[in-house]
Amino acid sequence: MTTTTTARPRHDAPAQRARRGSTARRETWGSAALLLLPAVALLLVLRIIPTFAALSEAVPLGSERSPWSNFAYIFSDPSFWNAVRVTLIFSIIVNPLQIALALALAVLLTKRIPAVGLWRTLILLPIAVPQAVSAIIWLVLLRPDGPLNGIATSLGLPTVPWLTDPTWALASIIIVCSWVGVGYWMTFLVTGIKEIPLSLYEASALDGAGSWRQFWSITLPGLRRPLLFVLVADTVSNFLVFAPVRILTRGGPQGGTDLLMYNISERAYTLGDTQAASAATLVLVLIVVAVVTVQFRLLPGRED
Amino acid sequence: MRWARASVATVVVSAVVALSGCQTGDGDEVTLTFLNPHAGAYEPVAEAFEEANPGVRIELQSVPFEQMVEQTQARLSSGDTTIDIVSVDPPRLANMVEQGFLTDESEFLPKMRANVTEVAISSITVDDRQWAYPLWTSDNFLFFNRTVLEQAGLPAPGPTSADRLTWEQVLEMARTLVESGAVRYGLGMDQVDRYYALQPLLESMGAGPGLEGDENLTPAVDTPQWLAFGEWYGALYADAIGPRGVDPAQMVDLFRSGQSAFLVGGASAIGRIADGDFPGEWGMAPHPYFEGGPIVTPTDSWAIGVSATSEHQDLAREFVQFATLDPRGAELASSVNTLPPVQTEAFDSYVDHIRQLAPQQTVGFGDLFLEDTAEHSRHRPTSVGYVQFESEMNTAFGDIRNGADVERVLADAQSALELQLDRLRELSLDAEENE
Amino acid sequence: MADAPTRREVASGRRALLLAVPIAALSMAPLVWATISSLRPGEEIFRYLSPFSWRTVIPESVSLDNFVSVLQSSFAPALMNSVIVAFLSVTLGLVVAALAGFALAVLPFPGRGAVFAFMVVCFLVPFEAIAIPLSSTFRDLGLANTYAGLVLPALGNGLSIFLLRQFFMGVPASLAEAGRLDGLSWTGVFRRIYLPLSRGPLIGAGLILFVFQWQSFLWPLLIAPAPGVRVAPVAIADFAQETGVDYGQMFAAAILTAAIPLILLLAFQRHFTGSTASSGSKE
Repeated sequence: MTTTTTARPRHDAPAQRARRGSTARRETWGSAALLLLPAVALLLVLRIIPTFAALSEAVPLGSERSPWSNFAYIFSDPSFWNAVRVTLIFSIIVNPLQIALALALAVLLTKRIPAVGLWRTLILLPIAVPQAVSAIIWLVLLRPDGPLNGIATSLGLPTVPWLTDPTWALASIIIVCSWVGVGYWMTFLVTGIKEIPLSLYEASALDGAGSWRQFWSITLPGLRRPLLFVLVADTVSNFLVFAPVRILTRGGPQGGTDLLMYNISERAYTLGDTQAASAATLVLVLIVVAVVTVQFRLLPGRED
Repeated sequence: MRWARASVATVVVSAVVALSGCQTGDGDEVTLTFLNPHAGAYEPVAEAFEEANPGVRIELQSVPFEQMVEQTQARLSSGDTTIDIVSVDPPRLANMVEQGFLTDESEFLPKMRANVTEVAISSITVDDRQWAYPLWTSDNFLFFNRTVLEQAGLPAPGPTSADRLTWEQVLEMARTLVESGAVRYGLGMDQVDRYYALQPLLESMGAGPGLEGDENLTPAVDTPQWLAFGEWYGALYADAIGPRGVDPAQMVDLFRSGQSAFLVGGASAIGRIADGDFPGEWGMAPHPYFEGGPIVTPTDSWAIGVSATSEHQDLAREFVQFATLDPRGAELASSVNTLPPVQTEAFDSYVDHIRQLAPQQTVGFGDLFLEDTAEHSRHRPTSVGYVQFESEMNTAFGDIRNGADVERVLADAQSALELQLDRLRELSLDAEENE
Repeated sequence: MADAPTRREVASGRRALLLAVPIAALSMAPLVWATISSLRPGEEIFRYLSPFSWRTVIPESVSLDNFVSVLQSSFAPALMNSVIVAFLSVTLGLVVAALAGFALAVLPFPGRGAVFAFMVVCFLVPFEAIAIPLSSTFRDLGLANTYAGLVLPALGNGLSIFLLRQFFMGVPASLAEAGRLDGLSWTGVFRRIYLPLSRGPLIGAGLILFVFQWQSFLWPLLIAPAPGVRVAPVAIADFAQETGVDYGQMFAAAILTAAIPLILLLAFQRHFTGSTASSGSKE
């Protein structure tokens, strides 16, 4: 990097400084606008405007019906409330589980292991398989007479009603989603750990810190920002799960796996009731906004 | 949403310039687009039509069967003019007609009558008018593992309608075979948990179709007869005669790998069973009925319609009539996935084809099919709420198979359907007022 | 990371290997089973499914028929389309996301928090919920059945912006200040200081864009169902027909679909590991 600092007078007059300050500020604002323009334009056009178009369906104006009738309808539908309940239970279990596993794997796979890249890649690979097919693979594996129960039987263990019992079916969805997701989220944490200066570990090793203490005093604080990303992104993506549900359980048995996003997609795509689907989507988005806001506020070291 | 579209346009157009698009098919030729859920099935009929009509190209857009409803809905309701021809599932016809997706084809009724059966025509009729052209029909049969039955000293069912077994007889044999350990399962169904396959059982047991009243918009799925059927269906799986947790798509494989003694399945299973190396011998028999009840069989299959938003309706109609009413066209349209065409001459060649696939097992197949269709078949109820009904009932049957309490499941289904069908009425009233 | 590992590190690496290998094996097991299944003729998958025996996992005979017929079907051009679409999405998307992430992380300007919140909201909205209205707009604009129609939605990716912003914030502000004092413009600071330090995060953001496109099913089905522009997940769905699923071919196609990112990931792993952390620039 060539350094061509032009000589500057050492003592600026306050007025001069202010003028230069405001030019610099203007340059900064201009650069910010330019750098953000493509992203903001694309997001506006491809996300925000269609979102308003979709959500405006939830509130039918210029009709005989009350503008809130779609909300009244979904709120009167027990299957909607069941979906909200199932989604919350699912989220409370799946998010901490996935993040803890991803973090543990990231720590493990940043150690000096032979062929470490290979192991990381193999754990990440499930996300590269089209979801429809990976769900079908599990559909066979989790059959009552499938390989998973077959292995259990040959080990003398009891068989599990994976997809045929409401509680186990939700557990199955959690397993399948985690099988896909953990490697993915781990990858970002691996990148994060790699960004932490090695010298910090070396120094603390000299102080005699064990790996457990290093994890708490160096890794975790150093991972703050990537961890916030993974926490938020994972939570959001788990709120929006529906493809595995569609293939594995279709929301059943007895509504036990009827995640809100699946409930919405059924309303919109199978039943063609886009108005109720939009109303339910709005509720879902509000829930996600609330949860994500809390996450941004709670995570220690939140940005200025 | 004009303002939205306009602002989208300005930004997107500049992006399009950057990303050179690759628009398909241009020039003088007319391209007809055919949206269907049958990948590969219409290639021969499309080629034959293109040959006979130079300058016309048929573009086959196949989408997965599971996504057909949503794709039809998403694309036709937005007034997509690029779709000219669309596959139609008869029970969903009423809903498509109500939304104005299809052209009225009633003036061609005489031409239909000359080529296809009355049962088939009634499947595409709503309010005494015809809205599509029937292409295929369907029926279910009882496939059985002959080797396993013989080894257990049980009589193999005969192939003609006169030999038709009752469910009581079938289940008794299935139970014997499962209990003796000869097979893992007694009975599978290739459309397990689906209303299509279970409606004949319900009606043979004396239950109603589940939708009744004016325009079939009143659910009746918690009647004593429905409960009786639910208990029967649940016991089938609770007693491990039928398999729990096996997806419909895996059922034929279960039978053809020798793990299930019986299979209730459609004609498409014949090719798949004959194709694999079945361990031993198999056979097929008429669809069973309940002792003391009527014989009831399923019917209907996909039809083809002309999209109301097509810009080439006459040409599109010409193709559809060729593929459904013309003997050669209908034969070609049925040749890839070997489903039975309703066109009478094409049906005969279809039967010949099936006879060749499995000569020993399909003795009397054609006669049985025709008798079932003419005398025993029941359409699924015609209703704008059929989609709601079917998806709710398929879920309910699935829950019963998995061991849920029958009375509760059916009561829940009844109230869910009442809610959904009320909603449908409210929305359609609203749409009428806005017109 | 040129310094030689200490004996203690090597020992703990060996212990970690004992954990890593079984976990990787567990993660791969379903895919290995699918691969084995794709090497068997159709009904053999189910013949030995139960009871569980060595035949469940070891095929009677191995045949590449499924792979051959999949590669001869319309799946092969669809896979090619997927590669093209994913490549365009990743390269263009990275440019958009990196610029925005940099501005949000480094440049002080009023309303920065609001713009960031806007980006976050964008990935909270389920894409499936807006796909139908967006697709009818795209059709009106003549984007149906074009690569542009497939690529564009991937470019508005708030998640990759969020990721890059998080990592750019981790770069010490003193570096940017020094660059500014050296007379670099903001784009200069971005190009000369931030980009070289952010290979790992950029690959991460590329992964997000890639996965979005590679898993995309509903959108391509709506906007690009024509035979010439179909993508791999849509073509794979052809193997599941109403009358039955061809598991062998479906699994073979899925394995081929996963093989492409597998090769790319193995090639890129070097860069994941090639950290800048030890350069001393990030104290």
